[in-house]
Amino acid sequence: MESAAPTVYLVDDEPDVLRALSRLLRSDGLNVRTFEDGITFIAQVGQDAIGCALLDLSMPELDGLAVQRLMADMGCRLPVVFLTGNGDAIARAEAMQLGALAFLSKPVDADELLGAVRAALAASVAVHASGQAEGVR
Amino acid sequence: MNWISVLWPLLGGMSLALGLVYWVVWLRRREQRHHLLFAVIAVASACGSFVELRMLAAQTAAQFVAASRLQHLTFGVAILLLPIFLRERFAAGRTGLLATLTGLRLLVIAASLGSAASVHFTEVALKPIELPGGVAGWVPVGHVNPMMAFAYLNLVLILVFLAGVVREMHRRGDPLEQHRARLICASIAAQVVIGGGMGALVTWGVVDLPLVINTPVFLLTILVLSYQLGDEVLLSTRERARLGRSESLLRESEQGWELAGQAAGIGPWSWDARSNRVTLSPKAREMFDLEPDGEVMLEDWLGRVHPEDVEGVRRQTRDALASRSSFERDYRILVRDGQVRWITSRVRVERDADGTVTSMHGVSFDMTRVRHADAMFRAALEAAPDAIFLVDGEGRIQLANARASLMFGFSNEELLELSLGTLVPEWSHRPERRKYTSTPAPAPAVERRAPTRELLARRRDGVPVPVELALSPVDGGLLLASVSDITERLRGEHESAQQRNELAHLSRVAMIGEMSSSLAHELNQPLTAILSNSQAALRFLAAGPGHEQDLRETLTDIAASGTRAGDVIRRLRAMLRKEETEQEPVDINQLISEVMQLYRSDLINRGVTVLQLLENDLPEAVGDRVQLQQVLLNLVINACDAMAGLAGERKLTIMSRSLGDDEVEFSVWDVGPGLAASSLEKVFEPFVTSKQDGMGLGLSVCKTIVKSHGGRIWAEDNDGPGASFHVALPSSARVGPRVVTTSAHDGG
Repeated sequence: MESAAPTVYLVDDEPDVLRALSRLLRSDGLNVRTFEDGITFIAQVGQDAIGCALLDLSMPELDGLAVQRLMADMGCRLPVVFLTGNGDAIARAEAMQLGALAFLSKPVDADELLGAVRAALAASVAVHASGQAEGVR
Repeated sequence: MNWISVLWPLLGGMSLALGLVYWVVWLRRREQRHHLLFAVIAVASACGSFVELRMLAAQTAAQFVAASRLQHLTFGVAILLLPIFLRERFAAGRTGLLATLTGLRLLVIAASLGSAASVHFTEVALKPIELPGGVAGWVPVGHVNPMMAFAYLNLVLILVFLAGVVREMHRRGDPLEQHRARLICASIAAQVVIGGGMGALVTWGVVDLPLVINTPVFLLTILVLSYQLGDEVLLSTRERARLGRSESLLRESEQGWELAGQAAGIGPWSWDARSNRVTLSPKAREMFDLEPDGEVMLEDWLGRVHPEDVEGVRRQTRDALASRSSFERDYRILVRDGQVRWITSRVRVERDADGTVTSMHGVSFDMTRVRHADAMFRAALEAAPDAIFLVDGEGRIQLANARASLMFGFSNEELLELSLGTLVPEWSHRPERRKYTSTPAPAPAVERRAPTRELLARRRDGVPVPVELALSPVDGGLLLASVSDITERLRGEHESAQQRNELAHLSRVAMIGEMSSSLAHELNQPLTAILSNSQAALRFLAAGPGHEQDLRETLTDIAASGTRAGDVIRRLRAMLRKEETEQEPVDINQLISEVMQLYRSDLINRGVTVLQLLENDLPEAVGDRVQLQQVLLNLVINACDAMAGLAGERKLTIMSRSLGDDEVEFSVWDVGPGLAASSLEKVFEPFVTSKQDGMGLGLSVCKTIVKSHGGRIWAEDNDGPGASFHVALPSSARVGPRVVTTSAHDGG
């Protein structure tokens, strides 16, 4: 599935939010996989997955930033978009430093979200296409 | 020697002996003058016997006349004294008559002494005769002396006097005295008739006799008199002996009475109307502060009576003497050291057959101590801040203090007509009351103080008053009921409850301010879901038909998220609500999950993991749900604050369990730095805080809330790391089967 089409990996501990966001993304024709916590996501995401990670910043046990760090550690190159309920400036700076593409605030506007996600997917496709070049860098 | 010269001295000797005997009797009983009179009569009569002997032995007429004058003197004196004797002995006989006959006799005696001749004859010649037994004698013959008329008038008057005495004694009615009077008068009458009659016959020459027959005739009278007097003397001696015995008995009994009187504080006394003298027992004298002995007149006694009471005492005494037979009076007396004593006297008035007052008999009691005790009781009663009633078994008011009148608006007289049930209606329906009324004996010690109860009383104007009623049984089947108006107390309690609630509210508002980011997050989540779902739905619509199922699911989710947001708002509003809620059963486990829901986001943000150890079938507590939530939330926030600086795992444990049969406990455990033993108590004091930005009111408010629920709150330093806070609340039901479930909770 990952190889067929780029996928949005959506991680949020709030089931209602998870369902709503995935519905919105799907309504725009995107492939979505949902995870209720970061550990499950880390365990299941492949190294060579194509798409993007849409992470909730504030989650119990493993929060968004920790998930981003683990992804980097395991060599997962999925571009990351953060969603947060509280616009914590320090967290935002840390996320950007780790290479997050966007840092969005809940509740999020559909166009803004889809724009960020599509940009991330494009980036992922580009990265995947020039995997050699990226790998050299 | 003849029989007369033998017999006459013998008879004279008897008279003399009797006279001496009664002279001695008189010496012992001087007040009985009739004994002296009798002695004189007997001696005179004895002298007469010897004179008569001389008359018989006279050789010449001159000797005879001289002797006969002496004879007349001796027997004359006897006759003179006999009526006087009667008068002395019986106190009877007409005075005028007595004076007349005495005068006549004195006249005759005087005439006889003054005349040279015999009293019987002016001229006398002697005619020798021979008496029976060969005794030679003289019979006087001559002109009769006219003085004899007076002598015989005297004798007739004596007979009249005797008749008068007998009649009077008969009228007096004492049978014994009547008998004595009859006997004595009869013997005197016989003597007068025989002696006088014989004398007349000789004097007027009817018979020839020697005029010496007075001795036996007089002796007859003297014997009768002495027999009677002897009988009396014996009787009175016996009587006196008997009296002596009973007097000693009386003295003993008086001493007994005096002793009893002393012990019981009773002083008997009596007042004699004739002498106006008051006889008092030593106790009565002591009571009225009178000298231990000496005469006491009625006025001395009245002089002791208190000036304010004396008029009343006088009036009542006058009334009683005028009309009534007995009375009782309480009055004060002033004793010499200025002290006032309260005396109660009970008095009986004695009257004779005519209704004339003869005496008063009374007993007096010193009631001062009783009065003082009574006064102290009254003072205590009146000083009490409560309305106090003494009621009987039926609740009828026997005694009420001034405070009672003030509280209920009835006068004291009106209260005494009412029953406690009229004032405190609920009282009469209480089963406890029967417990007291059915047992006339004092209730056992454990029941002596009945529990204080809050009831609604009713004033005269119908206004209800909240009161507290305490009952305690007293002797005599009575109950002492103390009724206190608790309006002010209830108002105070209400005010302090209000203040407590306001403080709790302020503390809640402050706490909610602290967790505003968490609350914002809790609202943000459903809003995010709603917004995303709505936009997805718009896209489904734009895409044309074929998305109905998607639309239906989307709208269902939107509604659920709306409900969730509404729940958050509702909880928030409950927490911010100010007014008191009804006390209701509270499921502690449910309370814990509600609070965890409210604080969930903060727990996540603060990296705190939560472990809930909740006991199944936990009994419910009773209280204000919001305030109990506040307490738990406060403890949870404190625990999180305590672990804020921890580098390692921040673990929060919440536990619920039942304590014994009647308490439910919830506790919050952190793994922070823990508490010093010295601060375990202090943390609940206001303004004690370890936080830089805290006011230190949270835990003190928690303590206030828990105490107002009748519960306990305490802190402990854990065996492992951290501290724990415990709250125990009274449970509303019995403990169910204990099944403890453990669930790792991630805050979701």
